[in-house]
Formats: sequence, structure tokens, C-alpha cells
Amino acid sequence: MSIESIVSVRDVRRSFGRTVALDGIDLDLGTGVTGFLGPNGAGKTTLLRILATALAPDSGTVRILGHDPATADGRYEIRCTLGYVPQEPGFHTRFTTFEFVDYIAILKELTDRRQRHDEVRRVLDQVGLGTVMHKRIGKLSGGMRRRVAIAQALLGHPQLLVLDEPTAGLDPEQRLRFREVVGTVAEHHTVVLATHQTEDVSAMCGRVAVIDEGRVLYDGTPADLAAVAAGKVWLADHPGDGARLSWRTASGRYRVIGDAPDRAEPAEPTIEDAYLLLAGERAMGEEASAA
Amino acid sequence: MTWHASTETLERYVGGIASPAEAASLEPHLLDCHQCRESLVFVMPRATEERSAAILAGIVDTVDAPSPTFIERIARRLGVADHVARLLGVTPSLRVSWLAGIVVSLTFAVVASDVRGGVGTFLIVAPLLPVAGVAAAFSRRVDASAEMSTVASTRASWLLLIRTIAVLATTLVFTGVAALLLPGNEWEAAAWLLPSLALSTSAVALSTRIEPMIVAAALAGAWVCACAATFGPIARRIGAIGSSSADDPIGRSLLFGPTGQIVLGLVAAAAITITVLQRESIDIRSIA
Repeated sequence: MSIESIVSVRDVRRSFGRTVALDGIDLDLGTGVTGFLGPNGAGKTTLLRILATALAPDSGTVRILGHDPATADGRYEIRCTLGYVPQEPGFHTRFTTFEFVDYIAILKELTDRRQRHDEVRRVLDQVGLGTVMHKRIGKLSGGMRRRVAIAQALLGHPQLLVLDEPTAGLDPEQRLRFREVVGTVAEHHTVVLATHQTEDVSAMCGRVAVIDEGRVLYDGTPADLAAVAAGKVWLADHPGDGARLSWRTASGRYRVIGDAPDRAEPAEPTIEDAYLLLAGERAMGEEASAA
Repeated sequence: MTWHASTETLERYVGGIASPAEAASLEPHLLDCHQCRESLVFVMPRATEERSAAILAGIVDTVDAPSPTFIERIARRLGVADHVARLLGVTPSLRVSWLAGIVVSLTFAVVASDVRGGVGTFLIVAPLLPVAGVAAAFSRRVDASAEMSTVASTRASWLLLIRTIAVLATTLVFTGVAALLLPGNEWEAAAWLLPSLALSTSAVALSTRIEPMIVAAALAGAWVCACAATFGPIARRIGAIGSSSADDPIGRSLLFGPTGQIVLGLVAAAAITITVLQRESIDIRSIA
């Protein structure tokens, strides 16, 4: 990971009415993949939208590639080097896949027709949609539409890729292909992605920030995140009274996070254990719904 | 033989991109020069391969290219750049279905004016059409991919400018033609122009701060109320105009009389000025 800060966030706050989405976020990001891990409503999407210049914070400062998104010129410079997949990408469903990505390419100021079309074909091939480029988006599956959104984000080799739940709806093979694409981009550029799946974090991210209730609860490597739960994860026949969280595993025994129950055996902590420990009950519900 | 053709010249010749003068000079030379004929045989496979690849790429690109919309084709014929024409072609209020709606509305207004005698209905309806067009062109509510298109580098203010010009131009052309079909074709039929400009430019200016659909609804409501208060039965009842049937209610109304037209012209000028001054906030509104 580069020490040079490509994204710098200082004391950023954002509310929607009375709901506080971000409550003083500080982060510095360099090259490589950073994952924002947290339950729904944690503030991940709000933070990503701010990084993607789709939303302005109420207060605090943001610098992306040395530019200030609060100014029109700064936003323009950032947007010239940005790829963004929103949480719920909308499409003009009458467009074909090619037409839609071509439309976004025009908005990204790729004005030369031949070069633009070559670039559109490149990104569609990259996400495995080369064979359906003339199919209307309205007839594509949810996973394919997600890949269309990823393809448009890859246009023009962005230096900053902001991806909100990019793997939602992708099957295992597509997920592997996506990880390869992200890995290639992250060799030289910055990728920020939000997820509530610990599997994505361990497979892709060199760095992880656990976010809940608008605050960063943890910021470090995935390996160090797992260590947060060291000495607090157990396997036992009963959850016991001191368990903060527990669930029955396939073997019939309970995996317990918290104080050790009677006759418990210590278990090797995982990223998931640490995440559940940090984000608590809300994350537990999230994992259950994702499963 | 004092000269020989360069490899580049021979490649251009084989590739079919040599100028006519160059080809005319080269061909008699090749008949006489054994060395250049040998060079030609050497470059031919490579040049043919490159040309075949270029032709194939051109075919693939033509097949892949999005089919242009009706408006896009017209814009290209008018000399608008390919990518700008595309941005216009996907604007909701520049689609054939929208333009058909404009034609239907104007037909209704012309027929209603014909039946009622006078141009009142037409003058009420015509200025509302470009307002609706501007709102449909800029509302994020009708742009399904707004979140992705907003963060593309094209400046929202530039997009606003080209789409507004295209929407106004098409709507005003249709309205102008409809005005010529009005009964009597009196000067009153031209009185729609300044209200149309005033309302549509106001819609653009206010849309830099407020959701375009709300702006359009408010302006339409205000316009209909203003029309009702200055000509027609309601105006007669409240005493804004005389009650005589021989009276000329439109010519005497505040909106369409000389004073009203001057005021509407000034409103249009002010709205354009405000839009230019607020162009920065158009980009900001997209992330508010």
C-alpha cells in the first residue's frame, strides 16, 4: 500500500434530517483495495457517494488526488479520473448494453467515435458482457446489470474506483472474474468498495475499515482485524451467559463470541468474528440475511 | 533510373490511400523499375493485412454503433458533432413520442381556438410546452442513470445549455407552424413567443436551485392563473377587461398588450442573466 494519500477525509459529517449518517470520519487512502465493511445503514454508502462526488458533506474536508470536491473545478478534475458503481445503479432499459456504456463514455468526454467504441468493447469484454452487448438492458438479469454498471466504471482507466456493493447479485464465477479485474486496477490505482460480506474483504482488500453508526470502528489490514477477536471466540455445547453473540454451527456446536462458556474450546478468530464483535447485533442480522 | 519509391509510398499505394497524383506518378515508374516492383511485392502482404484489419474494424464498429434516434439524425445533418447529437438524442423531451405529444397539444389548441373564435386557448397552451420540455430534460426523476451520469466529467451547465437550446428550438418551431394555422392569422397569434421564452428561461433559472418538475408545475399554475385573471370570463367578472363582446380581450389584457409583452421580454432577459451567473450552482445542485 502506498504511503502517499490519494484520498484524504477529515472530520466529515453528513446528516439526512435527524438521521446522522456520518459522525466525524477520518481516513487516508493510498493505492490498493480498501473495503468498507459494515451493516446496512452504517454510513458506507454515504461515505462512498461523497468520495464519488455524488454528494456533498455537511462539514469536514475531502481531498481526492489533491483536488477539493467542494469546488466546481475540483469536482471536474476528480470526475475525469473516477469510476463509480452506485449501490442501486439505474439504467435506461431501452438502451442496449453497448448503447448505455457508450452514452456514459460520451458523458466522460470520450469524444472520438472510433476510440470510444473500442473502449466500450474493451470494458464490456473485461466484465464478460462482450456477447450480450446488443441486448437491451431491460432483458438482462440482475447480475448482468451489475456488470454493466461495473463496465461503465472502468471506462478510461480511472485512478479512483468507487464501488458500492459491487458483488451483490454476482454468481461465484462472476465474482472471481470481478476480483481479478479489481486486482488488476488496484496494482496502480485506488479502489474503495463497500460490502457487508467478509468474504469479499478477505479475498480482495489489502485494507479494511469497519464502519458503523457513521464512525470508523477499525482501520487496518484484514489479518489484524481478525486478531481483534483473539481470545474472544469459542466453540461450546451451549452459548453460556457471557456470550455477546453466538450461533449454532453445522457441527451442532455453538460458536460463541464473548466470555468463554463452560467447557468451551478456544477457536481461531476470523475476520467475520471480529466484524461481528465490533458491529454487534446489527451485523449479525446482516450476515443472516446475506446467507 | 534515377529514383526509387520509398516503402511508405508503396504502402500508401497498396493500402489505397495514396493521392491520385502520387499513384499516377508511381504507376508508370513501376512498369520500368524492376527494383520498385520487387519492393512492392515485399510490402503487399503486410499492407493488405493491415487494410483488411482496418476494414474489418470499420465493419465491426458500424455494426456496434448505436442506431441514431430521429432527433440525432437531424442534429447530425445540421452539422452537430456525433457525440453531442447522441446527448441530444437521448433527452426525454427530444424523443419522437414527446414531439408527437407537442403536435397533439398544439393541434388541440388550434382547433379549440378555431371553435371558440380568437386565439385565447392557443396563447394559454403554447407557452407551457417548452416549460414541460425543459423540466423533462433536466429532472433527475426521469433520468434512471442519474447517479452514474452526474459523476461523469461533462459539466452539467454545458449539458443544460445544449439541451435547453435543442428543446426550445424544436418546440418553438412546432409552435410557430401551429400559429400560422390559427384563424385569421392576426398579430395576436405571435403573442405566444415572448411568454414562451419568459416561462422556459425562468424554468431553467429556477431549476438551478429547485427540482425542475416542481418549478414547471409552479410556473404552469402561475401562467394559467395570470391568463385567467387578464382575459376571458374570469377577467370580465373581476373587471380586468371590459364586458362588451366586441371588446378585444387579448389585445387589451395585461399579458398580451404592449406593456405585458415588454415585461415578459424583460423577465426572459433576467432569467437568462441569472442562469449564466448561477451556472456554477448547476453543477453543485447535482450533488446537493
